[in-house]
Amino acid sequence: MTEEVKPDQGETAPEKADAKKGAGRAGSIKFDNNIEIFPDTRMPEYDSGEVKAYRAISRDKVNYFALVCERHLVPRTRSATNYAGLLNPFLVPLVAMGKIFWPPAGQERFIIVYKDVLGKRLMKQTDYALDWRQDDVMNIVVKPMIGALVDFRNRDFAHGAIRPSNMFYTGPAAKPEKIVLGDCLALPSSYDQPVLYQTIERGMVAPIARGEATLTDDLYAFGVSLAVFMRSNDPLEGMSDDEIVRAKIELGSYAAITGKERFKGSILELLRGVLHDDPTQRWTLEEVMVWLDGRRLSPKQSIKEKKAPRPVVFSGEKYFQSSLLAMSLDSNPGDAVRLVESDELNQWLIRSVEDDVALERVENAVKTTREKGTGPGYEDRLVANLSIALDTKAPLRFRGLRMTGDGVGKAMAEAMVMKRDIQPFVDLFAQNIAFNWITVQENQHIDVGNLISRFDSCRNFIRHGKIGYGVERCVYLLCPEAHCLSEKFNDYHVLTPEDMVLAFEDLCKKGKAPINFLDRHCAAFLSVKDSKVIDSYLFDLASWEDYKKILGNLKCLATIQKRSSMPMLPGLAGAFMDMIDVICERYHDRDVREKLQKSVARYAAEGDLAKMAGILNNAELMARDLGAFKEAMREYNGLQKEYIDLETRLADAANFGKSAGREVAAVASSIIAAIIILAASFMFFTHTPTY
Amino acid sequence: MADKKAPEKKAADPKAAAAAAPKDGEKKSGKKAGRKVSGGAKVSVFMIGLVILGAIFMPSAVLLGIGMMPTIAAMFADPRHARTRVVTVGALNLAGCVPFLFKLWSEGHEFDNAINIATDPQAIIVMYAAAGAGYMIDWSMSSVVAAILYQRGLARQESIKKRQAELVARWGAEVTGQIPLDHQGFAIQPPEKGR
Repeated sequence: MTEEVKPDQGETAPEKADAKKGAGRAGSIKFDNNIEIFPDTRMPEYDSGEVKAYRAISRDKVNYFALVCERHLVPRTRSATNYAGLLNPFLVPLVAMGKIFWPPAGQERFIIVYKDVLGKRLMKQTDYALDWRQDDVMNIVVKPMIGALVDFRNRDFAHGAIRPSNMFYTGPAAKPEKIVLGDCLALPSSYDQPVLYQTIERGMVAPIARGEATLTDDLYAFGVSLAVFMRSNDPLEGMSDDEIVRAKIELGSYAAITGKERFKGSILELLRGVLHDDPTQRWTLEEVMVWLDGRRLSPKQSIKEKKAPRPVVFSGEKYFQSSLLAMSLDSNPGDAVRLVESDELNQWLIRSVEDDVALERVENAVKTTREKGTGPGYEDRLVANLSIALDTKAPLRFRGLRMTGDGVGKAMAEAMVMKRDIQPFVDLFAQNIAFNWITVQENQHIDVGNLISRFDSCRNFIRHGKIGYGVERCVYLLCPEAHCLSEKFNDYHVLTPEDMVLAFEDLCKKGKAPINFLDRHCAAFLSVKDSKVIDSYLFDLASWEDYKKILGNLKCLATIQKRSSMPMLPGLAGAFMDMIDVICERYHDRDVREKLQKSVARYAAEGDLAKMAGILNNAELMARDLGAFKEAMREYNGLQKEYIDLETRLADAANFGKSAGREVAAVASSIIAAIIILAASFMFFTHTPTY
Repeated sequence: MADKKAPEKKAADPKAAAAAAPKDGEKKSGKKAGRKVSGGAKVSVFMIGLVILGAIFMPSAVLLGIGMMPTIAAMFADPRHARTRVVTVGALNLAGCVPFLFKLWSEGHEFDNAINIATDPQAIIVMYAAAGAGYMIDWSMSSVVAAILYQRGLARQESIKKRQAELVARWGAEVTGQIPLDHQGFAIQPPEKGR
C-alpha cells in the first residue's frame, strides 16, 4: 500500500527551521497537533489525479492518508465543510484539512487528511468495462450509492467524482464486500472525472473549468458508473474526449454508453432515467428512490438532437446538428466568418434546421458582434457569440477557453499559477462574451442571477483596472476558495488576511521583506476577503508617491492586525522601520521627524503595527508642520531681504551711519545749546548784567 | 464758456485724452512740484515774517545776522547734509549769541549798541567759537555713531546668516524658497545632497 519516496533533489532545500517547527518523529511532520504525516511514505493507490497521497497516523495510531494539494488546482474547501458532516460508510471519512509546510516541495501546501478505510481501487482510470452481474451491482453499488446520494442532497453537497475508478473495495476482488467512494475535495469539482461520466454539457468543458457539480450531475455519473460496472465492452474505446461528446450528442448518452449491450430488468429503467440528456427530464433523486422502493416508472426515451436533412460544410466537414457545429466553430474562426458573411449559416438554419429561434439568436449574435467593430478580435468574438447562439446549453467557448459560468474562477486561478496568458479572460468580460452567454442560459441548475451580478462586477473591475481591481480581483470574486496568487507567496498558502500578514511576517524574519508588500494580487485578495481592511487605503496604494504607498501598506496590515487581534509582528514592524525615513520625510520639521522616528521605533520593537500607523498617520500634526514650515519660509525670506539691504548699505562704508550720526550730533548740540541758553536767560533775568 | 468747453472736447477724443493725460512719472513729479510750491510758500511766508521782525527788531537782527554767519555758511556749504549740520552748528552758534543779545537788550536796544557788540572781537570770538564747537560735535559724533552702526550692521549680517542656517537645518533647503515646491511645500525635484 505504501511506497517510500525520496524528496526531489532538484527542489530548493526546505526551510529547515519551519520544517523543524512541526517535526514529529524522524521524517514526519505534525499537523493539527494530532496527526503525523510522513512525506517519505507515498500511498500512490490513494492519489487523486495529480494530487499525491502520503501516509499519516493519528496520535492513537489510527491510519490516515493525506492528500497534498497542488498549488494550481484549487481544492474544494467550501464543500469540505458539508462533506465533513456526512456520516456514510460509502464515503471516506474526512479527518482534517488545512495548510502545512511541506518539506518535499519546500513550500506551504493545503492538505486533506482522510481516514484510511479505502482498501483497493476497484479499477484503473483507463478501464471502462467490468462485466459485473446485475444483482451484485444492485447489492454492492446501487443501494449504498443511493443512500450516499440522499445524504448528499440532505447536506446540499455534490460529489462530482462518482466513477468506478474512484471506488475502493475490501474483500475479494471477484466479489467485494464493501465499496467506498474516494476523494472528491482535493481537486476542483470533476477535474479528474473522465468525459464519459460527464453530461454532454460538462463534457465539452475543460476539466479545470467544470465548476461545481450538482446532484443531477452525480446522478448521471452514477448511471454511467452502473453501465460501466455491467457492460462487457467499451463501445467508446479509443475515442478522444471530443469524439465521446459527439457520440453522446449524435446517439444520446444511453445509446452511446451502452452500445450493443442489452440490459434487462428494472435496472434498465434506472439507466434510461438517470442518463437522459435533457436535464429537466433526467430522473431526480426522488424518482430514483421511488424506483428503489420497487415502483416501476415508465422508462424515458432519450431525445436525440434533431438532425438537419442537409448539412452545412464547415472547415471541410459536414455538420447536420447545430450543437456539433457550435462545438467546432473555434477550430477555424476564419471559416466561421465565411459562413456568416456568405449567409450560408442563416440559409442552413432557415431551410434545413428550420429553427427560427436559433436563427434569431444567430442574427442577434452577429449584430452584437459587429457593434463592437470588425477590427482585431472580431473573429474570436463572432465565433464565441455564434457558438452561444447555436447551442445555448454549451459552455462558454472563447479563444480556446471552454468553461461553465461557475468554473471561470478556478480556470483563471490555474492560468495565473501556471503563468499562462490571461488576456482571453480579460476579453471574456471586457467584450461581454460572458454576459452574452449567461443571458441565454435556461438550465435551472445555473444560478443565473448570481452569475450576472458577478460577471457584471468583473466587467467593472477590468474596466477600473487600478490596484485592488482588474483581472486579479475577478479571480478572487469568482473563485473564493483560491489562495492568494501573488508571487510573493509562492512558498506560502495564503487563504485569509491573517495568513497574509503571517506570511509577510515570516518573509521579513527571513530577511526577504518585499519593497512593496501589497501588490495587485494582495490588494484584490484582501478586497474580496475583507474589504474593510483595505478599501480605505486603495487610493494610497495606487499612488505613485512612495510615502503614500508605504503608509497605505502599513495602515492596511495594521488594520488586519488590530481587527483580528493578531499577535505582535516584530518582523513586519522592523521592515517598515527600515522604510520609515520615506514617511518621516513628509514632515518638514527635522525635530518632528526625529521625535516621530523615536516614537515609532519604540512600537516597532514591540511589533505593534497599529500604533506605528497611528503615529505616522497624524493629519493634525502634518497640518501643523506645514503651517510652521510656511511661517519659517516667511521668516527666511524676511531675513534674506534684510541681509541684502544691509549688504547694499554696508558697501558704502564711508557714508554708512553718517546721517544717523549727524542726527545724534544735532540732538546733542541742541541739548547743549538749550542748557546754555537757559543758563544765560536765568542769569540775565536774575542778576544785574556785569558786561 | 468757451474756455470750459475746450477741455471737454479734448476728453471726448480718447487718443487725445490719453496723450493729454500725464504719465505716472509726470503725475508724481506734478505732486512733488505742488509740494515744493507749498513748501516754498511756507518758506516765503516765514522769510517775510522774519524780514518784518528784522525790521521791527533791527538791532537784534543785525547782531544775530553777524553772529550767526557760521550757521549761514553751514547752510550753503554742504546742502546734502545741511539740515542736520545747520541744526548742530546753529544751535550752539545761537547759544553763543544769546548772552550778547541779552547784553544788547540790557544796554538799550539801539542800532549803535548792536554795532558795538558786533565789532567787539571778544564777542565775535565767543559767538564763532560756539559755532566751531558745533562743527566739532557734528564731525566727532557722526564719525563715532557711524562706526558703531557699521559694526552693528556687520554683526546683524552674521546673526541673519546664523538664523538662516538654523532654519535650513530645521526645515531643509526648501525653506529658502529657491527650490520649486509642490503645494505641500516639498521639492518637486529633490534638492541635491549637501545643499
